[in-house]
This record gives sequence, structure tokens and C-alpha cells, in this order.
Amino acid sequence: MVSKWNYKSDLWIDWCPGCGNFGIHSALIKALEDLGLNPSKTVIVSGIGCSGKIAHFVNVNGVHTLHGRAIPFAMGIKIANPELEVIVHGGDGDLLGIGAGHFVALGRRNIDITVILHNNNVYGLTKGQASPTLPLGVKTKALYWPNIHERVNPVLLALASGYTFVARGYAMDTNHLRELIKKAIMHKGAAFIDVLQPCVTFNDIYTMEFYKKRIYKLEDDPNFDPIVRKDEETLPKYLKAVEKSLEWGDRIPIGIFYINENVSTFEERLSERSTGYKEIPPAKSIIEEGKPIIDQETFESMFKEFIVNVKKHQINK
Amino acid sequence: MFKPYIGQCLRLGITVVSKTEVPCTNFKEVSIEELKNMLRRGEWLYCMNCNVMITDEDELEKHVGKHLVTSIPETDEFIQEEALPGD
Amino acid sequence: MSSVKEVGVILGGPQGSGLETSMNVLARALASRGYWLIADREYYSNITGRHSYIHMLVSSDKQPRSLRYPVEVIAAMDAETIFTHFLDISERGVLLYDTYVSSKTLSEVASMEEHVKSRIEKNIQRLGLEPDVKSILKHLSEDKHISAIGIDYSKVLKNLSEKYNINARFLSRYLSGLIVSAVALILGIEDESVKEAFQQYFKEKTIIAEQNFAIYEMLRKQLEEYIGLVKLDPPAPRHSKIMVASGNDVVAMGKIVAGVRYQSYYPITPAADESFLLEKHSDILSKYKQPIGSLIVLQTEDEISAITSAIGASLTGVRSSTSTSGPGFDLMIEGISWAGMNETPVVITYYQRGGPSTGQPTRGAQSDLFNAVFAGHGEFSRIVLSSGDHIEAFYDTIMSFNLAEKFQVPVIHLLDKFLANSLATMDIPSLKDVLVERGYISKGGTGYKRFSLNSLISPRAPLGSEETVMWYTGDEHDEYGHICEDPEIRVKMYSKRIEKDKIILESIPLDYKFTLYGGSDFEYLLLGWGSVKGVALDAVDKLREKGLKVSYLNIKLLWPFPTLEFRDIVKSIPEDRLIAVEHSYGVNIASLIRQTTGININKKISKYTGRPITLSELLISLDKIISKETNRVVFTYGE
Repeated sequence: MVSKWNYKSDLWIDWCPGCGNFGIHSALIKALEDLGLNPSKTVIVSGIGCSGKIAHFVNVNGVHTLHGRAIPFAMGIKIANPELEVIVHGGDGDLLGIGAGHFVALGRRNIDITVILHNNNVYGLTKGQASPTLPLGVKTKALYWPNIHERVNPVLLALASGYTFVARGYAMDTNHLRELIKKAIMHKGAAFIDVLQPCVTFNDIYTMEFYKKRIYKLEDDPNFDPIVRKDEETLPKYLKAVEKSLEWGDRIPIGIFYINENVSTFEERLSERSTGYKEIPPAKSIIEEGKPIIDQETFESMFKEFIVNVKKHQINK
Repeated sequence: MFKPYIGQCLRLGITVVSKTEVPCTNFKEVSIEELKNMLRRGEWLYCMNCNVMITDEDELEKHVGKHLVTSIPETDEFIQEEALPGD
Repeated sequence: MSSVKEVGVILGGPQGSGLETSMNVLARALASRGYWLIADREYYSNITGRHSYIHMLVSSDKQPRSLRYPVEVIAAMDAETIFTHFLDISERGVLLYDTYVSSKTLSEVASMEEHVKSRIEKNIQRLGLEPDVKSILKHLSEDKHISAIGIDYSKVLKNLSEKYNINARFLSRYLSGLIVSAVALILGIEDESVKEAFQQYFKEKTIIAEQNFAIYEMLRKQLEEYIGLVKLDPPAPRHSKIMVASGNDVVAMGKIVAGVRYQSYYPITPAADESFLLEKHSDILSKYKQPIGSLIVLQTEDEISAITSAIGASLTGVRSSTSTSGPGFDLMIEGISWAGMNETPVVITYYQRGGPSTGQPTRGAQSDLFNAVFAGHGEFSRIVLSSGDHIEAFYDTIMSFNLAEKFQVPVIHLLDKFLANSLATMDIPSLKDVLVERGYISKGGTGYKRFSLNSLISPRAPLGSEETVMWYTGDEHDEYGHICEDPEIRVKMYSKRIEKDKIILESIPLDYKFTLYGGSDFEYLLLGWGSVKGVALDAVDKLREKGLKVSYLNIKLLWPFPTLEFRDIVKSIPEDRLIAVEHSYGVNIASLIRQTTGININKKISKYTGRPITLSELLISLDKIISKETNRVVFTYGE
């Protein structure tokens, strides 16, 4: 299907030549084309760093936020207007370092947002410091000393936090990544894709050659099925996903680790508290210039617990 | 970083420098089919004139014939020494 | 005994033992009899056990605005209350206490902090008393003619448990009813009012209301001779319905009236009660005659998420807000700076408490003026508004949303713990004149420029507008919202965001900048902002009665500061007749005024114990300052 929208921006993209971000950018644009998402109803919310600029490089709404805070910005946007398709892009320092608390919270809430992690193991735009996904003892060229922090496993953390779609892609395999992004966007609930991304300038360890030798696709294993179809499959499939997430070394799996659409989304949970949420979410409320929002009678009945009737013989009016 | 007037001739193994952007005499333009095949194999291309990455055929069409399109040049390992903190 | 115009009351006991309920029920009973009141809650940062008290002033003819010592009635749940407050009872006042504690000694009060204990011990020694309840009771009745009325609390509760077959484990829950009943009897409030107050407070739990009223009936017999011992004058006529609410409550109500649709918060004292009330009403809008929307109240993972998600919601065109206190506000600053950069309306309700750091979580302060006005890197427009009392807080909440949208700036509504936690009677706010102002809302469209340089206020289209795409970024940007480091664009965009201050000052009406109370013929001008208003107005009235021409200037718009109007209003008197009052060390409003107007105020009244300035304190300090005895007075009264 040819989309009627052009998602490519005319801006010159200022990532380093060969940067893995190009692969993610290209896969994203193709996924948007395939899905034919309306640019005015789609919002890319990004954090800070090289990956953050992606919000400007796609011709849909873009909100380029603060370091680590793309997720809460996205959460406010999505909750206020659930009709919008919200996609978060952030680096590994952004989502798993400074913003790790929000990353975990989104999983717990299972809000229908897609999170795409640009995982290059370094802080590129500040000259290549170690990021939370760089393993202990690794010394990239940009580091003076070997890394003294142990790495966090993004896929395992996503599983532990409650994301109901968890996948890993590879920036240089754009066609594979494009399919993952499409599935993640279509997924009902919080979706996460860990995208392995070589940083051509600062990371001389996790290079294209490194990944080329090790990456294999989960879908090539006919015995691995990540989709929870019945409640009783939840635990075994979750455990299998956890086991796969621990594979890192000579063989690195990419593909979908886990999908579970049986978990209630945050939108559904909110509808229980605020029964009109689906019909009139915050952004659809009509708040008109020059008019009151509620009348006196409603106000007094809403807050009757604070209103006291004064005994008759004391009445003024 | 990437300059269209300085290149490596793979056949002769020599550095080619030209102020007029004329390639080495042994230069043979790659065909669009070859470039498309590279894209299909998941390799990316780079337009030397526009300084843009080319990751799909549509983009390729815009540059090929008019501009110098190559496979991604090798990254200069000393770039990082030149890089300034930017964010 | 003849009746009086006003009565001060203290209800004291361990935190968590029902004082909160006592305050609410007693306030409703008094309100339904037509009395006006204000009640401040003082408590430790603790869930249960430490000393806590309610300090009330009840009036028969007007809304009390400040608290005073001594008080006429103290109801003590425990011995600690007696030790802590025995000096606060007026001559011929009343002390209600549990006969069980009459044998207690000060050293037995384990929950009391050592510093407090030794200070009280000194007071006791100074009066030549023994550090025990018995000696204090004797002193109160013999030397101060106070009626110390002992009630055997456990006996009353035991009778109740027998009557209703209540498990002894739950009996302490009825202590609040006992306190309410005893005080109501002393004040001579009619049975019906007490009954209805229990019913209204306990709502559907009718049996609890009935049981509490049974306590009242038991005590009525027991205290027969004391009924109406401290009798209030019959109340002056007033409206048939009045409101009894805390500052947190009225702000929540204001937000609903203003059309808030997204409120985020991270639990913090003294702000959380506001969100709690909003949460309770989050379904109300769907149940309106014709559903008008949904209100989402979200407890986030931290204050950073609270502010940034509120900003996110605002980008979709929703009226959004968050509420917090100092420590939470500190975490929000980067988000506020982003909102300034992106011309995004958002309301931050900021309840100050004692700082720095965790400071005094449950005590009041006005020490965050500079934090509200100056926090954030870079320069950008913002509005900081303060409210002097409950009713102002209600309307200012609505105003905050209007201003935020009209000028596309973050609005900080600066309140404090004193206002947040104190309960007051008030007329029901009228919504007649409450109107929504949304500012420049654009439909967007092809080629839409979110940050167009054609006007000082940018065309704001919500995310999701048809046929419209837009970009936002914390980086400097062009009219479309794309990153741009061009120096010319930088200058235009940067100054645009600051120069909004000018139109803000031009369009906000004078009475939203400040209000002069007491008359324009003043020879001395007391000035301040926020919750000192009540005590300042009472002081002004007292001094005017004595013929001293003092007025009070209640400053509402703290930023951008109304420089011209301020200079104009103070020009009739010399600088050395300006006196600033604030719950802080620095009395920082004076510095802000000097910075923005060049006017130097060197007479300052300050209190930073975390307890509110009382009327007597303010009167004493004004006397000292006006008589040129000193330029600075610092107060410390109150436990």
C-alpha cells in the first residue's frame, strides 16, 4: 500500500555518516508508511542525545523533551488524548540511566505507547562516556579507564517492569526492524524494542562486525513462540522470554521475546475510575472561551460534604 | 571528514586527489543495479555531494547519476579526538 | 456567665487519635449554628503518637482571620496536651481533661521531644509547681480561676461499648466524638446541630453517627452544670448555606470549576490532600447531566514525571496542573524551564512548608518566594500568584488556568501549609462570574508555525489537530519548532519569551496585582503576601481602632512584579514607614521589591518556627517598629 503521506522530513540529518540511527530512522519511516499513520495523529516523543533529534527528522508531530523524561511527557500526551499514536525514542543513557524510573513505571502502567531504545552503549553527544548498557570492564576507545559499572539488560528490565510487548532489533537490519516497529505500534499496551545500534564514532567494540557475527533471529527457531494466547501460557512464556533475554555473547537473539495482550491497558484501568474516559477523554472535553464550565447547582451538589445548612432562625436570606 | 576530492582507488591501491572532482582514470561508475543490490543486502550508501545516508531505493534514485554515491566510507578512527561535547 | 463574641479553642492529643475528625465535626456543628471559624492544624511529621493540636477561633459576628493566644477552652485527650498548653488557657477559661491522666508526671510523657520537655519543665519550675498534672490542675483552678473539668474517658467509652456491643479494640475511635461532645456542651451548641454534624461527617455510616451522638447524650447528663459555661453570643445573621473547607479542598474545587482535566502529583505534605479530593471526584464529570469530560488524576513515580506529564497533557490542549511542596518543586524545575522554552501553559500549585531540604514537612513557611520566582535556568516569562485566604485561593486557582493559557506560560500558584491545612467557614463561592479564558487557540493547518514570530503570543494548536504537524523542543528553535542555532532567530525567540512579561502586566487587572486594606489614608503601610493577610488585617483593624493610620497591602501578583503600580501606591509615605511581614528569616518580599522597584524596605517582621504569626505577636511587633525601638522583630510563640 502506498501511503498518502510523506513522512520524510526535508531537514538535513546531522548524525555521523554510518550511524545506526539512520537504520532506525529508515525502519521507522517505512513502518509509518506501511501502517499509513496520519501524521497529525502521530507523535514522536524523544529524549536528549543523538537519538533525541529523530523527532525533528520525521514528518509527524515531534516533541523533543528533556533528558530521561520522554516517557512521562509521552504519558501525559497519550492519557490526555488516547486517539494519538505515541512513539518514544530514547538512547540507553536516556531511558535506562537518568530516566530508568520512568521506564519501569511505564511498564507497570501498560500504557499503549511504543518505546524504541537506541542502544549504542555510549553517550555519543557528550563524547562517548559509558552508558548503562556497556558491560563491566569494557574499554571503548573513548574511555580512559575500562567501565566500572555492570550493564543493565534492557530486555530483562522491560520484562520485569511489565511491558507486554518486548523485542530486540538491530539498526542495520532495517527490514527486520521495520516489522518489529509495526508490530509494536499495533500492540495494545506498552511495547518495547531494544535496538542494537553501532556508534561508528565512539564505540569500537560493539561494531557492525561484532554484531554481524553474533546476531540470530528468534523467529528462525520454530520451537520459540513468544505470544501468550491463553492465561495459562503466561508463566511458561514469560520464563522462556527471560531465559532468552539472558543470552548474550557468541549468539545474540533479535526478534520478539514476549507478547501478552491479556493484561489490562492503562486506558482500560482509567476507564474504571473515570467512566466517561473513553467517550470524552481530557482532550475531547469542551472548554469554551467566555463560559463557565459547571453551574452553581452542580458545584454545590458535587461538594455537598463541605456545605452546611445554617439553622433556620439564623438565616439572612 | 568525507571530501569528494580525495579518495582511494581500490584497483590501484592509491590515493586519488583532484581539485576538479574528476575521479582517477581507472574509475568505473557503479551501476544503479549494483547499488540497489547493496541496499537489498542491507548495506547502506552515502551521497558524497549531499552528505546524506541512503538507506532505501527511493532515496537512491534522487542522487544516482547526478551525485557521487558510494558505500559508507570507513569511519575515520580519529574523528572522536576532534569531536566536541555537544549536548 | 455573660456570653462572648469569640472563643478560642484548642483540641490536643496524640497524632492519629481522632483530632482531625473532632475538628471537622465541631466545625460543622458550629457552622450550622451560624458561627464563623478558622482552625489551624499543628502536628509532627509522624503517623501516630506525637503531640498534635487544633487551634480554633470561633466568632459570632464575623469571619475570624487569625489565631490568638490565650484560648478560652482546651480539650485534652492526654497529659501531654496539658503540659504543652496549660499556659495557653485564659483566666476563667475551661480545661477538659481525662481524669485518668491526673496522676501523670512530665517524665512519664515519652512521646515528648527532650527539648520541649526541658523547656516546659523550666516554665513549671518558674511558677513554683511540680512537674505533674495534679500540680498544674491545682494551679489553674486556684491561681487562674480556670474550670478544670475532669471526665473519666474510659468510663464513658465503656458505657458506649456496652450499649452498642462495640469491640474494645475499636473504642479509641470514639475519642473524637467524646472531645466534640464535651466542647459542644461547654459552648452550649444545640443538640440538633451536634447530631447533624456527626451525620454529615460520617455520611452513610449512620450507626457511627448514632453512636457518637450517644456519647454526647451521656456527657450532657454528666456535664449538666457546665453546659454553656463559655457561651457565644447569638450569631449575626448570615446565608442559609455556608461552606466549611480547608485550603487544599478549595483549591481542588477551584480546579474542577476551572476545567482541569489532567492533574498529576507525587505524594507530599501539605499538597497531597488536594489531589486526594480531586481523585475522589474523578468520575463526577462523566455523571454530569450531560457528561462534560473526564478528569484524570494520576499519582506519578516522582515529581519529575508529575510536571512533565502535565506538560505533555497540556500539549494536547488540556487544562493541566500538578501540585507539590518545596522538595517536589525543586525536582520540577527542569520541566518548568522546558514549559517556558516551549510556551506551554501549565499550573503548578505550590504549597510551601518549612525548608531547606525536608525541613519541617508538617509546618508552615513562606520561605520559598525566590524559589517560585527565580527557579529555572535561562530567562523566560512565568506568573507567580499568591492567595491570602481560602476564598482568594479558590478564585486564584481558576485565574491561574486562565493566565497560563492566555499567556502560554507556567503559572505557579504559591500557597502554604497554613492555608492548605486550616479549616475555615466561608460563603459558598459564586460561579456566576467565573469565565474561561483560553487565549490564542489556532486551528493549525498546513504550514502551521507553532512559534510564529508574527505575534508575541504564539498561535497554539493542540497536538492532534487535523491536518497539522508541529514540533516542540527544549533546544532553541525556529517558528516550526525545529532546532535552530541561528543568532538572529535566537534573539527573536529568546526575547519574545521574556517580553510577554510586559503584556502580562498590562492585562492583569489591578486587583489581581495587589489589594489595599484599611484605607488609602495610611501613614504606615504593612505589606506582605499569602497567608499573613488574615493576621495583618486583624492587626490593622486593632491599630485603626486606636487611631493609628495603618493599612495592609496584600500582594497577589509576585511575578512579574507590578513595579509601576507599587511605586504609585507607596509614594505618599517615606520608605521608613513601610513594614514587611513574612513567615521566613529573610522577609524576602522586601528584597524582591527593592530589586523591582528600587524601594528599600528595612522594617521587617518575621517568624520561622513553622507556626503561624498570632495577632498579639503582630501587634507587639508593629508597636516596637512604629515606636522606632527596632527595625526587625522575630517571633517564636506556639508549640
